[in-house]
Amino acid sequence: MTTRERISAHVEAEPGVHFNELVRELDLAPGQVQYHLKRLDVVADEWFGKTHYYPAAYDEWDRRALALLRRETAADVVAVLLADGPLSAGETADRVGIARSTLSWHRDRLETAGLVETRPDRGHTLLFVPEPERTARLLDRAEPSLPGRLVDRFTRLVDALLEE
Amino acid sequence: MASVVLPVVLGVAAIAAALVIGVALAALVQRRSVPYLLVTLAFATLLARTAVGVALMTETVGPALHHTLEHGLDAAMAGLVIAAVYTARRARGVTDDDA
Repeated sequence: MTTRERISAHVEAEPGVHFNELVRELDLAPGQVQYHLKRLDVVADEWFGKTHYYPAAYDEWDRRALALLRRETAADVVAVLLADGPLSAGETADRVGIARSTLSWHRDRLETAGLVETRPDRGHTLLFVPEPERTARLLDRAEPSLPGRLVDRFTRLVDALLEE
Repeated sequence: MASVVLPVVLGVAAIAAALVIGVALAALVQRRSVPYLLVTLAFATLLARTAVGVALMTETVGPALHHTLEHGLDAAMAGLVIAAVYTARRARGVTDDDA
């Protein structure tokens, strides 16, 4: 397998992968990765201050969704809503096992991306996933990175401690 | 014996503290909130304690000053955590009003 094929296969296997992850996981020089990415049929996209790489087959909605679903906590929220939604914000946070503040931070971004929507229900606001099949398919493909997991778990812990 | 153990302990402490601060900084970049800034600073006191330990080992500071600095950093850490909890309450009070 050539270096270019390895990079291509990695982007295919982990759509939404960060540049740094490609460098680290394939054990290549940053310049090498940059050189091959320019010549591959991949899409570079900046979401939330980081550049992600995707196979050309993913459209913009998918790309933004994947950037979010690669975050462990956001993926947990979406998974709970797919399984048991629509749910109120409080019920969602309880089922995921996160603080209210953690949920509200992720919820803002999930709503912006169109992964989660709200609808009023007898004085409450319920959260639900408007595109369940498409979202479930992307959720299967999303693989969090180790640093991403660490930061997500740290924020869960800190939010929970500060919530007391 | 102690002359070998102390540098090793300080080295491990420095690496562990640096890792924790790295994660805290990444979280701070995401959240950009006062409580997260205070939590990051609280963890930074761990690295400062290690630095004070190194300074004692190299005899840059004397035992008396070393003691004062270490306990001063303990006080700073406790104070920063209390401040983080306090500001988190205030920040949440504001969002509750908005809801």
